Amino acid sequence: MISWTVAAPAVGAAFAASLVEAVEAFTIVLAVGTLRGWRAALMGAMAGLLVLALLVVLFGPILNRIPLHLLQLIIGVLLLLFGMGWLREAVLRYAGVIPLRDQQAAFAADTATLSQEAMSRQSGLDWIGGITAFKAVLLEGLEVVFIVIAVGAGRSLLLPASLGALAACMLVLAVGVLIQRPLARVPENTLKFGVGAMLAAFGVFWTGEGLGIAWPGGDLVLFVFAAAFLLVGLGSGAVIRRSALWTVQ
Amino acid sequence: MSLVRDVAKGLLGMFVGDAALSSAILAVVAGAALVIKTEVASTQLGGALLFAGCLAVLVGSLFRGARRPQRIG
Repeated sequence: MISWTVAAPAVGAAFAASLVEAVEAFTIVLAVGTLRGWRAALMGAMAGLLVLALLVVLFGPILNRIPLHLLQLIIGVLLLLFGMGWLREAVLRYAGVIPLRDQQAAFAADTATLSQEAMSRQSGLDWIGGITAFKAVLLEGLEVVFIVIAVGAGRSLLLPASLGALAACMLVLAVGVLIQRPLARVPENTLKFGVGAMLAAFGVFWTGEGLGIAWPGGDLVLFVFAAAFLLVGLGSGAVIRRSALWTVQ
Repeated sequence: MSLVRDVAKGLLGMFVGDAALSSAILAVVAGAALVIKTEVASTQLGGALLFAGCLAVLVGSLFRGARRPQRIG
């Protein structure tokens, strides 16, 4: 029986995080496809997906062999490192310390890099394009796989979390194919802010469970953790933003 | 080799985007684990230390990050 107090945040976090990663991968694959045609882009993307599937098939069963408390501790610590990294970056972007990521600009930069590499290496653009699409799908896909495992493995929620991630990828693909432009209107930093807080909350929760802590309130404490990370992030961001404005004045 | 290097770099970057933040998180986890495993205090106190420590690390990392130029990832 699935407990929705953990399943809902797990599926939500997997969906939102995968949306961010899928948009980033789509921008690069679109740059490859637009510059050279879709053969290289699709071949590279499919190869990336194939390697991801192989990694899941090869390493997935190992998860079942790790004792639950150790698995929770390992995943919890990795989630803290990953989630707090995302949250830090999102807050600094919100505060104006780092510029917001612009998918149109990223698309233009990817296209320019691809053209430059093809000229400097004197080799066919198909090959370089295919490798670029492969790397984009593999690297962004690895993050999706990690997030799905991290939020799903501790409470046997791998299937719902995978479905959340799959829904996000299908949504990006469907909208992307429809408009054939970088998905610049996805509020990437807002998503990263929320997902970062959620993943950090899962990180504290799993790390604590792995160390043998029985959290007061059980699974519901996840919402308290997430709200605290969100509020601390928003508060710090607002203070940094204001102090930066003072510096400019 | 460049492909393998790029993938390895990407994987490392997932967890160690900012070395100081990652080290501080690991220190907080180690501290909480020490408190719990040596039974210096109750596991609940260890949990509070873990949670509050992570929030403090985040705030420290944000204000440190705001004071120095950022590498855009």
